[in-house]
Amino acid sequence: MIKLRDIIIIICLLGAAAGIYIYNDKGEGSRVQIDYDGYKYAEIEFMAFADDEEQRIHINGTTVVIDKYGAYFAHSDCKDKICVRSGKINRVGQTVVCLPLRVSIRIEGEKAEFDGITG
Amino acid sequence: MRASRAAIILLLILAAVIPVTLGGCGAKKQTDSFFAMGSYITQTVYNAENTLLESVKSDITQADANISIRIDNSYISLLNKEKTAVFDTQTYNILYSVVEFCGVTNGIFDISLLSLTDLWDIEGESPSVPNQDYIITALQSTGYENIIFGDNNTVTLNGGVWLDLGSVGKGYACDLAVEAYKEVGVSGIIAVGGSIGVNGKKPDGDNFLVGIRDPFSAAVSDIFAGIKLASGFVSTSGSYEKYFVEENKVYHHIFNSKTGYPVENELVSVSVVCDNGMLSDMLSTACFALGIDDSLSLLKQYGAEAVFVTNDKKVVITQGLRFITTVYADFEVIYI
Repeated sequence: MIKLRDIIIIICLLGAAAGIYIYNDKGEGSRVQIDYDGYKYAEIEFMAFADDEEQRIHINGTTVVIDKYGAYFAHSDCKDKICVRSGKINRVGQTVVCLPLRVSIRIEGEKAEFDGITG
Repeated sequence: MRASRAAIILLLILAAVIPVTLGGCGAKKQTDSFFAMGSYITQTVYNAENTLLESVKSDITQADANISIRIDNSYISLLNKEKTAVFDTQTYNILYSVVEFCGVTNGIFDISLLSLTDLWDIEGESPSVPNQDYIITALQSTGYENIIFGDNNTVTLNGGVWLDLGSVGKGYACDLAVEAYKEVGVSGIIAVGGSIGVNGKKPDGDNFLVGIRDPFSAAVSDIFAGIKLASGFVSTSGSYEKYFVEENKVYHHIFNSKTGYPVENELVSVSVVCDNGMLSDMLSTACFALGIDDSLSLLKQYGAEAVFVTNDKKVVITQGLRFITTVYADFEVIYI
């Protein structure tokens, strides 16, 4: 026979599982992957950065800046500057690409808010 | 009995925890990114053989080598140079169906506008508004009717026209990927620039969620709506990404094939959902040029649906997308 105590244990476990699930569902990323020419160049955990900490990565004429709150192209030698105009990203799956210089930044994490972006 | 009670509790614990772990990382997820079709391409597949992503990548790279005008010895480059060329069957069939679509839209969608777009230099170093006389001259070397299909995969160009399949390459790449996923029964999504192809559902049983970028914001993180897509394709055309400003007027990259100037109507973007990638690319460009009212019959003809955004911040959504599209931004939403 299942006793009341067992039922309480089960409810607690289900609650904890749901909690984990909701936590996963938030979509906030913890690390950024930088690719050059389609190959991984660097992967950086930014969640653990201090408030005023920032890392600058120079790659093929672009400058990618990473701080506690995300990553962005601060500079690019390309002519259209679409990558710089694209701003900062911090949610899983968000990507900015400098197409002319073949550098991309993408936020990685467990659960993406969107599986793809059109536009 | 104590043992069976313990077993039941254990099973219940597993039942509670397994869906959480499976949803997160239990299913084998593979992602790969590369450059082709003038775009950044990302594929994600679940529980696939290790070779699938590589094989799709090689198919797309090969198709790019056949159709790109940036590649010197592609079939399209050869045709532009020699004015007559013998294609392989794949490229011939692509061009044939694209030209057929140009005919359906009476040239509203036209892949032979290279003389015109080169004159504007819209993707180049220094775009500017050309002299009207030059525009009229350039228009004389355009027109899909000048693409002639002969026997044995021969294609000929008349009237000094130049072709560019750039506007359909992204969607075609999505077609290649989704076809490959389907063949082996694998769930996956491919993004070729802003063109998306989807097969199946995610491991957690949800449909893939495709975000649509806010056309009023330069930031890629600004998404104004999401479409939950069961297998299918989405493509977006808008005036907001490639453009230049001259004397306070914005000139974007989608041209009216009759006037030679950028299309001017109520739209800032349109996203089209349908069951073929190349078609979703062509329809989004054509619908952008046509405006909302004239797009509806074309969409209906192809069983396609659309999300239009107007310059006064209205979102117009066709009925087929009503229950799978969510608008997050504070725009007025209209269903038609």
